[in-house]
Order: sequence, then structure tokens, then C-alpha cells
Amino acid sequence: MPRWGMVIDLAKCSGCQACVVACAAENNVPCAEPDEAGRGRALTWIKVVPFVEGEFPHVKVRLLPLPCLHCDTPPCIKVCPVDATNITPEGIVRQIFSRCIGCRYCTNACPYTVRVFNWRKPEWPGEMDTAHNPDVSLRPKGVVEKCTFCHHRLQKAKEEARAQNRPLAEGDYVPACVETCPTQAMYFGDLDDPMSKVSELSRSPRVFRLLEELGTHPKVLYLAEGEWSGKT
Amino acid sequence: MKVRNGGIGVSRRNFLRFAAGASAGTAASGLTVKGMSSLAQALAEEKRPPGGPERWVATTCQACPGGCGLVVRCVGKRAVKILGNPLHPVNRGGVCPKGQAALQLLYHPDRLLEPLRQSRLAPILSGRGSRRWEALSWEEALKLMSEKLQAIRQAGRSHGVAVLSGARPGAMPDLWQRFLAAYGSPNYLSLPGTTDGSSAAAYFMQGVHEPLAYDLKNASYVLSFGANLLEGWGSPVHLMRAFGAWRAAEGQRSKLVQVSPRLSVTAAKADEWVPIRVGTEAALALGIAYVLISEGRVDANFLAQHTFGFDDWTDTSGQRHAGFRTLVLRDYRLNEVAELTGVPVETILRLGREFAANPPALALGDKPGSVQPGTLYGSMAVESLNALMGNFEQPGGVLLQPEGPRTAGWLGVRHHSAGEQAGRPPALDGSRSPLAGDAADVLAEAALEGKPYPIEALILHDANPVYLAPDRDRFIAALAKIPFIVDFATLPDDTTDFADLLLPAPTFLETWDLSGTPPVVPRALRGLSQPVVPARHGSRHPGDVILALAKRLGGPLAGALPFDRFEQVVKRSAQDIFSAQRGYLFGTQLEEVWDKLLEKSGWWAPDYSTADELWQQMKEKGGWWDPAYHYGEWGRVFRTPSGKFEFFSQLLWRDILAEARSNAAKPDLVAAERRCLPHFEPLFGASATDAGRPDAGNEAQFPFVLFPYEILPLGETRGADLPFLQQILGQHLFERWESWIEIHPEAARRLGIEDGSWVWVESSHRKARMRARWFLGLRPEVVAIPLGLGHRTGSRWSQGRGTNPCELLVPGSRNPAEPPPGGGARWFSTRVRISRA
Amino acid sequence: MERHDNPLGPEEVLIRPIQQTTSQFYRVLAVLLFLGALSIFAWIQQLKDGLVVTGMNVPVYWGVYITNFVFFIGISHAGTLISAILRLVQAEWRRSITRAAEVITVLVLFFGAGSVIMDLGRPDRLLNVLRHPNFRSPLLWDVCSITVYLTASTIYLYLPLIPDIAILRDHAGKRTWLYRPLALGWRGTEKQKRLLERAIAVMAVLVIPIAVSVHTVVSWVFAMTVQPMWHSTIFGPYFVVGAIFSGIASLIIAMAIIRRMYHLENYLKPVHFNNLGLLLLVMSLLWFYFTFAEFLTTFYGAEPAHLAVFYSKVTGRFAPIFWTMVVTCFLIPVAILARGKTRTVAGTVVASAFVNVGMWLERFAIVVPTLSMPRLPWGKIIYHPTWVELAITAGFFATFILLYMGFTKLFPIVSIWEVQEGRQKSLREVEERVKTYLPGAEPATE
Repeated sequence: MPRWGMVIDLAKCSGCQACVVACAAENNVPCAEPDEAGRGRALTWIKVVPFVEGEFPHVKVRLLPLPCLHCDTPPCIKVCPVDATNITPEGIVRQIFSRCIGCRYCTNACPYTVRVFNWRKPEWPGEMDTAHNPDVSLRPKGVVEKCTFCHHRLQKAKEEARAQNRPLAEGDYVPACVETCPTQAMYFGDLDDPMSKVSELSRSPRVFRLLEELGTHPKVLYLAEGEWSGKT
Repeated sequence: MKVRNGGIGVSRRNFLRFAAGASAGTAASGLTVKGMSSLAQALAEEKRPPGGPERWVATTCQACPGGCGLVVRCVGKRAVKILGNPLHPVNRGGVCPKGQAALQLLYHPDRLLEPLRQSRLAPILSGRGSRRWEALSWEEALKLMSEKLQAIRQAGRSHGVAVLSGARPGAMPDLWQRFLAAYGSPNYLSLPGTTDGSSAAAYFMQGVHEPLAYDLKNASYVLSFGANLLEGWGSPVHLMRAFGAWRAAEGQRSKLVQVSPRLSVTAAKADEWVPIRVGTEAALALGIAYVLISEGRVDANFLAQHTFGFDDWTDTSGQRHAGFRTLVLRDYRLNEVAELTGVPVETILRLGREFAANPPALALGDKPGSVQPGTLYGSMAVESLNALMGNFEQPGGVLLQPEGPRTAGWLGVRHHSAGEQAGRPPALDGSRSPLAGDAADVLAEAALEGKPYPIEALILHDANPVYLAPDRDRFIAALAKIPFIVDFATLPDDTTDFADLLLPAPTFLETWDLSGTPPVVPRALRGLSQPVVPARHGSRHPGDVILALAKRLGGPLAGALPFDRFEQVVKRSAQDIFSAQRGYLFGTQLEEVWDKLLEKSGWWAPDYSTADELWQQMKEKGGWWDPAYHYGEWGRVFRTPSGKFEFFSQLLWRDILAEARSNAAKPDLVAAERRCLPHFEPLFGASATDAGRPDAGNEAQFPFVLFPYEILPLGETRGADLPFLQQILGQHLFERWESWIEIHPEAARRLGIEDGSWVWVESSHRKARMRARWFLGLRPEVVAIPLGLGHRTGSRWSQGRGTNPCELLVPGSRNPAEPPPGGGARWFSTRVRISRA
Repeated sequence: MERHDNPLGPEEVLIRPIQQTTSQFYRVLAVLLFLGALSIFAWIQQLKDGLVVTGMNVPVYWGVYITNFVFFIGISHAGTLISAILRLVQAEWRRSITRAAEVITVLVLFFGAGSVIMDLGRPDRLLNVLRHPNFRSPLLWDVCSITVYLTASTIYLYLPLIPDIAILRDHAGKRTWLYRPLALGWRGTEKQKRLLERAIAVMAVLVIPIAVSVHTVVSWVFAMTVQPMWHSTIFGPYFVVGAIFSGIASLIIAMAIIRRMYHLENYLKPVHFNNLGLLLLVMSLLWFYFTFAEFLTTFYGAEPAHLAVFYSKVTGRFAPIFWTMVVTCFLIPVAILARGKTRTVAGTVVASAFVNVGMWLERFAIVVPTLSMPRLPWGKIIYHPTWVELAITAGFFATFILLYMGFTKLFPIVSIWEVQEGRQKSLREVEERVKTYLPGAEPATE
């Protein structure tokens, strides 16, 4: 049974936010109206979070892509009163949109604040809904949503592998963000497969987990930026 | 008891085990089936968009000049997702946010639906720019256009027709130029302008017209002078892949040093940020040259063999000229450079030593992005650093884009310089001379002054010059003087207001095209674009329109363009690649290695055997390229009078001599030295000719330097129309959808300005009300505004939103001491004051 | 219909509101109906457009509605808890106030639950709570405990109401169709009385742990997350204390109003207000103790995420709310209630009004600041409740008062039979009881 995880190499990440746009395009995420975005209601399943430190001229701005971390012990699934969010045996924290009653308890329980809520009916003006991905359902208003590790792609990959009578290979199932990353800073795969890239990277000395002390056991791992050590 | 079944024995124990297991399994699955069925029911209640047969179309992105390969997933008739083409050598499957957002352009609700013309009432009411449109059919539009063009031609003034185009090098520019040549006009002007500091430096120091290229991923040390490598410089995804290679976990990491007044995303991700005073990049570069030269860390071999003007030299008339070494050692001592640039001496020393100690080291700049052009002397100073280290024509070094197959051979387009075409009116931009000046400027000058001749008609394609014009009012006044303006556009923008005829153009996802090699990519490459969906609404590709016009205008024009559809032009150009008899289709990286090996050994074994096959395969794989780069073709790379890299540009010296001759005076040697060698040209009032600098000495009144900068999502200012891109503008400050001005917290506190409060930003030209954001990543005397918002006219998401920093820029008259490529300096020579609103 | 000559004696005044309605009543009714209608209009907007009409945003996902939820559930502790505890310790002064308290509880629970329903993104899917319950969720525990509490409180209200309904059946002169079936054939026989006493006693014992569990579970909605200044072990008892606190304050206000409106000065005497005032004082001190302990611990622990929330309350954006809360929940009530001279009817009512305002602010100061200070960096976060939220809140208060007023029009708000029982029997019983406390007393000979 694979345990799906992601590794994001912050040394290679360019902060371009292609992952943000790719995710929104793949998952039919509506764009909040500009005023709503200004009032803090932008919907993004993955976002780039800045950490600004230091004093001029030694200023450091770190940019951290933050999807749902698909924790192994997620604080969010415990609190849903209607079991609209739970964790699959393969480790994906799934969201059942048709069951969610929109109480937003899970959004408040997540310490990383990665969950978002449809405050209004999602709208795509004109013919913009033509570009909708048929593999991802459209959410109504009043429902919580979040990054699903592009779970629909896993289903499709499994079906294809089954049709071709072979097991799922590394690289068959890749979320949209990982697929588009121009610097190839994101890796995805089975953390429990010792031969996979993510498994290898998870043992790197540069690995850290966000808010590790909370015991959420996130399956999105980060590789710290590191530094140059050439000749001066 | 054994039950035999065709030879396979099944013992009772095994049978019972199996049966027990099967029943248990069935029962368990029954349980899960029950659980699953409620989940299945829940999932079935969810709404899905319509499905359909799936199709994957390879094409080339044209959201920016980067030229990445895309594969678009289509479901039924709908394009639903953009992915990268893993076979395309430029991006190998990666896509930047602009590419990912392109479907929002394809299905944009505000697309122009049909040809429009300014209502006949409009001149009565308020003239052009009043936005009262009348729809007309394509038939009528073509008739109108051909009548106007015919009339101009018959009056013998066809040279007064100019095309201003934002199209990438490829089939469209070639077609435009062919059309214009046959029509009788030399005026194909491209935006962003010809006055790119980098290409100007390449021309004057290397004598080449082709763009420079770089073997980025193999560089061990990259010193970037303001070049926003991760935010749209050159070919964005290509750069990002190189950055990924610099930071690859295995092996030694390459160092990226970003020299800029502001902590951009590139600077934030770089290994080191050097905060430098605005406009002093050239001084720093020459300070580093000082370190390299004075400490003897230069590549003496390369300097001796392949450069000219490093040492002092005597010309044919016996005149002695100072060389680069003399200039640097005399004028760019470190404490003076530190004083000028605000970079400490220790840092300059260290940078110089690191640059020398980590070969191959690349210096890049000073062109910041894709819109702001950089300056001639800034770029020359930066290139000099590469020359000092001899980092040309080797892995990790400066290369020259190979020309590649002549796909426009049949078009017969050649560059004509003014001299060759005796008797014919000269091109407005000096046939793309590097000294010609900004295309929009040149156009405005001709329209307003009538010099060298007035403009009879202007055709715009994929261009929004009104937005970018630093002197917006002047440009608009110039447009008013042009009797007939046609604009091919997909969405309304600041310039469409001024057209007489507005023709809906399709997006790049609906058209054919064959693009050339993207900027800074060191290979000959041809990327194919093909329609992912048919052209939407009433849009028609300008290529098709030109061909239709040619037929209507008849005569030599029809003969020069014997095609019905632009697709045929593209196909023909693609098939011409076949006659080059080299190169390969896009393939995997493994194939790339194999193909390069073959080529180096002098073999050629492509996947196609006829031109037709090539065409079919290109449609599947996305394009063609020549994977090998032949290092060391010095004759190709240096085509100056000396045949070497010229620190002292003899081409510039020729201009000085010609000027002196026409003024019947002796050439000013001191000035000559300045103009022919890389040097620091100050922005504000420190030079002898202050006349061209309106803000000179105004520090008391306007204490801040305004720094407009490009960001990746807004790219060449088109991103503002797309919500996906508006949502990701300023990730370091959580800014989206609106403009903001960054100010250093110290400076803000002194003025009593809180983070997020409204302020007046005032230059001596105009003022604007904006929200101020505290940002530590700025030199305290600098305030910064992102470029790309503040469209007066646009789609629903871009119109009236934000502030356009171009409108704050003080339109300076040109400093005669500095050739027009110094137009780049104009972006940064405005001072402003900030006050609470 | 039989009519005895003043059979109720002085208790006649207790059924007068049921028999007559003043014009003042109608005027107040009109205002409350208007506010109720306004809130319905606001809710329709919200159903139509979604929760975008509120001021909630990311990450402040909960705001006024959840504050109301906690507040209303808190007030519910007044009634049943006070009435049950006072019955169990046999405090005689409870007789006139138990009914008023119990009605508060039963009615306000609907508004507590209603507040959550207001807050849901998909109220039409409410039944999913029954179809797919997740028993690990504190919200589901809430659903269960509030349901049980509502049931128990309704029973606990109804049981002592039976004899009074019987009185009304016999003496009210109207609505016999309502009172006869509800009276369940009460005749006041010894057997019935004993049965009733036993049932009430059992309920009184049962209701106390249920009530304690309710607000504990409500607090656990917050405490069971890992969020700073929510994840605190003190929340269970803290919320219960706060609930009793705000409950008593609401009860005092309710009592003062009905005393004025229905001329119940004889039944709701200064001593009642004095005693409740003392209880209020104790709760205020207790509340302050818990709050102080909570904040001191957070401050000393100095964990950055917690301190961010701490400072936002103490010196930052929420400081005005926080300090108003301290003044209105502690300083003013203690000042008024600690001195006998000011612990009058008016004094306790003033103190209670402040307490209610303060406790609402306290709920707000628990819900919103933690959400406004997420652990990871965020942009500007501002929560401004909109007119929809305020209209619905106002409507809820108005409708609650309206329903309460409605109850007083149908049933006596002071328990007639218990007052009569007190008048007839208590003096003797109490004397007997006190004798057993004193040394050398003879056993009761009754």
C-alpha cells in the first residue's frame, strides 16, 4: 500500500507560483472577485508563504510553497461532525464535497490554515467555465475544499495501469503542481517505497517538517535552502 | 482425501482454507461495499463538468517571448489544461504561471468578438479615444483597409505605412516584412524596441546582429546586474531550469549573486543580494573589472588572442587611443566605485575574487526583464567582465545563437541599410540599427515632426505602446496625427481606444506559427504552434488578413504572397527546415545525447525522410532543433572590423568619425574614448550635460528614486487581464489585484507613513494615489512600483485597476551624449516624493 | 365553569398576565417582531448569496455566530442549574424564581443551536449529522449533549409546571383546551404529589451533570484543537463557570423585568436579588480567578504562537474588547455586589447588564483572536461583522425575548403551587430542620 508524499526542495524553488496557477486550473478552483480577495477570501489550494527576516542590507525573504500537507495524524479529520473529511488508506486526506455541511470546524483545526471555504457560489463569467477539468467536481457554495494531491489523477493512473495489466510505476501519478514546476523543485511519490525519489530525499539531512512539534506528521517534506560553499 | 482436478491436486485442508478465506473476504468486502456504496453515492451527487474524447495537442506558448513547448489537454471541444511538453528542450515539461493561465485568455469573457470601427459620430463628439464602436463585417473591414492602403500607395507614399508589432521572431514578422517590402515600406517596427541594451552591446562589441546566448546551466558563478533571472528574463522557464541545475543536490552548487536596488524574487532566491544604487550597475561592473585587472586574475591568453582595445592602441591615422585597461585602472578605483554605488569596498573585492576563482563565471545584465531594455554602456560593461575571464564559446559561457535554417528563404527578406537603398526613403528605425531609438519613440517623432517623413497609416499587432510609453501624452498626440490606425487585438487595451479599425485577433492557442529560437537559448530551434481549438468568435489571424489584403491589392503584392491561408505559410516555412539537412525533432533527453553524439561525429540520422514527414512529426512533437553547439567558431561570433571582441568599439568610433566629417570638425578624442569604451553614465545630473535630466539636482524636493520593476505574472503587462495572474502578484507582501508602492520602513516612519496606508506619489510630471507597503528589501532612498497594472482601458479585470508607473516617469529629452539605447536609463531617472494621503 | 371566590388569594396576581394583556405589551411585541423580521430578511440574503455576506474571511472562519452560540448555551446554565441546585440544597428562597430560570434554559437552547445553523455553509445538509456521524468530533458531542440537555430541561420545566397548569385549567377562564390536556389530570392528591416530588428530585439530580457536560463539551470544540489559546485544559471548567456567571446575570435581568411588568414585587423581593447578587459576586470572582490563571500561564509559557494571541488581546488589536470585558465582568460587578448597600434590585440589575455585555465580549475574545493570529505568516486580517450578522444576532435576542414573553402569557412565570406550598408548609419544615442542626435538639415529632 503506497503512502503518498511530497518533497519540496526550497533551494530549487524559484517562488514563481506556477504551482498555484496549475493547481487552480486543474482543480476548477474559482477566482475570488478582487474585492473579496482584498477581504481575505481568495481561494487557493496551494499558496506561497513569505517569511521576511533581518535588517537592511541583510534581509532574507524565504518563499515556501504550502499545499495541504496531508498529515498522517491530521487534526482536521478528527473534528468533522459528518465525516466529510477523512484519510484514505494510502494517506491522502480526502474531502467529500457533497457531504460537507460547511461548519468550518476543520478549517479552524488545521494549524497550517491550508483549507479554504466557498463563501459564495463559484462563478466563471462568460465562457470561462469552458476550461473546466471534467475529472474534478464543481463545488457548490458553503462547502470547504482543499488540496487533494490531485486524487483524481491517482484514480486515472490506477485505471490505466490496470488496463495495461501492470503495477503503478513511479511518475504515473503526479499532482498538477509537481508536474508544472519549472525548476523541478517538487517531487512526489510513495514514501514507503525505499527506491522512490521522495523516499530517498526524506532521508536527506536537509529535511524539515513544518510545525513538526505539533505531531501532525505531515507528508509534505521540505529541503532547507542550504548555502554556497565555493571558493572566495 | 485429495480431489484431483486436471492434474492439480487440491487437498481438503487447502480447500477449506480457501473457502474460509473467500467467505471471510466476501463478507468483509460486503461490509466495505456497504461503506463504499454510501461514499459512492456521495461522490455521485457531486457535479462534474462534461466529459468527452481526449486529445493532446502540442504547441508553443506565446504568453511571453520565452517560447516554451506546451501540450494542451482537450476534452471534446474544450481545452481544459495546459501542460509542458517534456520533449521541448527549452522547458522540458515545465510551465510558468503565465503559460498555465493562458486558458483564461482563450476563454476570456471580454474578448473582441467582431471587427469594429470608430463610430462616425466619434470625431464630432470627442475624436478618437471616445470608445464608440460600430461593428462591421470582415468583408467591409478588408475593403476599408485595402482602399486606404491602395490610396496611400497610389499617392506614392507607401513608405509612410508602418507596422508596430509585438510578435515574436518567427513566421509573422517575416510575413509582415514581406508584405511591407512588396507594398513599398521599410517600416516594420517591433516591440519591445530594437534598443535592447544587450543586443546593442552585442552589435558594438562583437559586430553581430544575432542575439547572445548563454550556456547557463554549466556556469559555476553567475553575477547578475539587475537581470531578473527568475521573473521573466530571457526565456523564463529555461532560466528556471538552469537555476534548478545550479541548486541540484548532487555536486557543487553554483553561486548566484543578484546586484539590484531592490530585493526582487531573484535576489531573494540568490545566494547573495548586493543592494546597489539605482543606475550604477556599470560602475560596479567596472569596479569588479578593476579587481580582476589589478590583481592579474584575467585570462591573458583570451585577451591577447581574441580581444581588441584592452591595451592602448594606435589607429591608422597615428592617433593613440586609451584602452580598456587604462580606463578602468584610472577611473574605477574601488573607493570611488564604492562611493558611487553604495557597495562597500570589501564586497567589491570579494565579488571580483569569487568571480575569478569559480570558472566558468558569467556576468549577466543590465537588461532587467523583457520590457525594460537596459542601457548600452551598462551592457557593455557587463560583457567586458565575461571577456576579461575569456568566458566565450565554452561550456558555461557566452555563446551566440546559431542562425538556423533559413525558413523564410522564399520570402526573400533582407536587411537593407540606409546606404544600400539609395533613392528609397530610409526606414524609421534605421533598418533596426542598434542606435535607432525606441520603436514607439521613433514612430512618435515621425508622426509629430514629420521627420524623416510623416506616417500615413499605422498597423498595430499584439502591441500596447500607449501603456508603456514614458511620455504617454506625446505618444497619444502622435497617434492623433496618424490618419489611419488599424489594431489587431484580442482584448481591449490602452491602445485599442485610438484605433480607427479594431480587428479581433485570436490567441496563440488558436493559431499556426513557427517561432524562432527564444532569447538566450544557445541552439537553433523552431517551435511549432498549432490551433488547439478553432479561432473563436469572429477572430481572424493577422496572417490570414495580410494574405487576403495582398490579394485585394493585387499586382506585385499578390505575387509576393501566393498563399491563401497563414497555415500554408507556416507549413512551407517548416518544410524549408528539411532543406537544411540537419537537426532533429524534439525528443527525450536520452535522444538528445545520442543526437549530439551523432552530430559531433558528422552523422545525421533524423526521424523523417521527407518534408511532409517532418511537418507531420513536428505537429506531434512540437518542433525541430539542432542539439549540438559548435564551440569556437570565432569567425561567426566576432564580426567586428578587427574580427575580435572589441572593448573599444570601432563601430562606434566610425560613427564618431562620420559625425565629425559631417560637421567638418576634428573628432573629440575625449568624448570618443567615452563613447567607444564601456563606462559609467550617471542618471542624475552628475554629467556635464544636465539639460537632458529634468530631475537633476532635485533631491531636496523629490527625495526618492522611483524604481519600476517587472514581475513574472504581469510579464509584458498583459497579465492584468487574467484573474489567475492577478491573484499571485506580490507573494512577499500578500499583495494581489492592486498596485502598491514599496517603501523602506525607516523612510516610512520618518514620514509618518504606516504599512498599508494611502499615500501620494508625486514626480515632477504627475502624481498618483497608492497604498504604501513597508518592505525591508529596498535601499532606503528607493521606492518601487510593479509594472503592469493601471490600464486605463482593458478587460473587466484590468481596466481602472492599479497604477501605471510609466505615467509617473518624467519624459526626459534625450541626452545627445548618450545613444538611444540609453533609453533604458529613462526608466530609472525619475525622482518622486511621498506624502500621506 | 366553577369560580371560587378568590381561591388563589394573593397569588391571583400571578395569573393576571395570563388573563389580561396591556397595550405596553403589544408595543414591545411590535418592536420585537420587527427585529425578528429583520433577522429573517438577513438570513434569506445569506441563504441566497452564501456566507460571503458576513464579515468572516480566511482565516477568521468563525465570528459573531459562534460567539452567539457559546453565549446562548452559556446562558442556558442559569435556569436549570440554579433551579436544580437550589432545590437540592433546599434553599427556600428559590420558590419564586425557579420557573423563570427554567424557561430561560429551555428557550435559549434553541437559539444556541440556531446560531450554529446560521453559521453553516450548507444548512440544508444538516441531517448528514445523523446520517454520517463522526463520534470523534466535539461538534457531534455538542449535538448529543445539547439534545439531551434540551430534553431533560424541558421535562424539568414541565414537571413542576403541571400543578400550575391544573390551577389555570380551573381558574384562568380561558384556553381550557390547552390546559386540560397538559395538566394530565392533576387533582392534587397525595399520591400524585409524592410521585411529582420524586420525579422532580430525580430530574434535579440528573440535570446537573448534564448541564455541566453541555458547556464543557462546548468548550471542547475549541480546546480539542491545537490552536494557541484554545488548546487549554482549563477550558472545560472555565466555560462552565462563565456559563453559570452569565446565566445568573440573565436571570436577574429577566426577573427584574417581569417584576416590573407584572407587579410581582411581593414575590421577587430584594432578598432574592440580594442572594442572586451574592451568587453573581462569587461567580465573578471565580471567573476572574480562571481568567487570570489562564493568562498568567500563557504569559509565563511564552510560546511564540501563544504569545502572539496573548498580546493581540492584552495590548493589540483586541485590547479594547479584552479590557472592556475585564471591567464589565469583574471590576464593575464586584464594586456593586461586594457592598450590601449597593446590592439592591437596581444594583444587581445594573451589574448583570454589564456582566452580560462583558460575557458576550468574552466569547468573542475567545473565538476571534486565535483565528486572527495563524501560526504561519499571513497578510492583513481584519474581521468586521456585517449588518447580516448583527441583524441576525439582534433578531435572535428579540425572538428569545418574544418567546419568553409568550410563555408568560400562557403560563405563570412564578410557580404558584410552590409559593403556596412554601407559605403553608415551609416555615414549619425549616424550623424542624434547623432544630436538628443544633445540639440537644429533640427529634422531629411530625
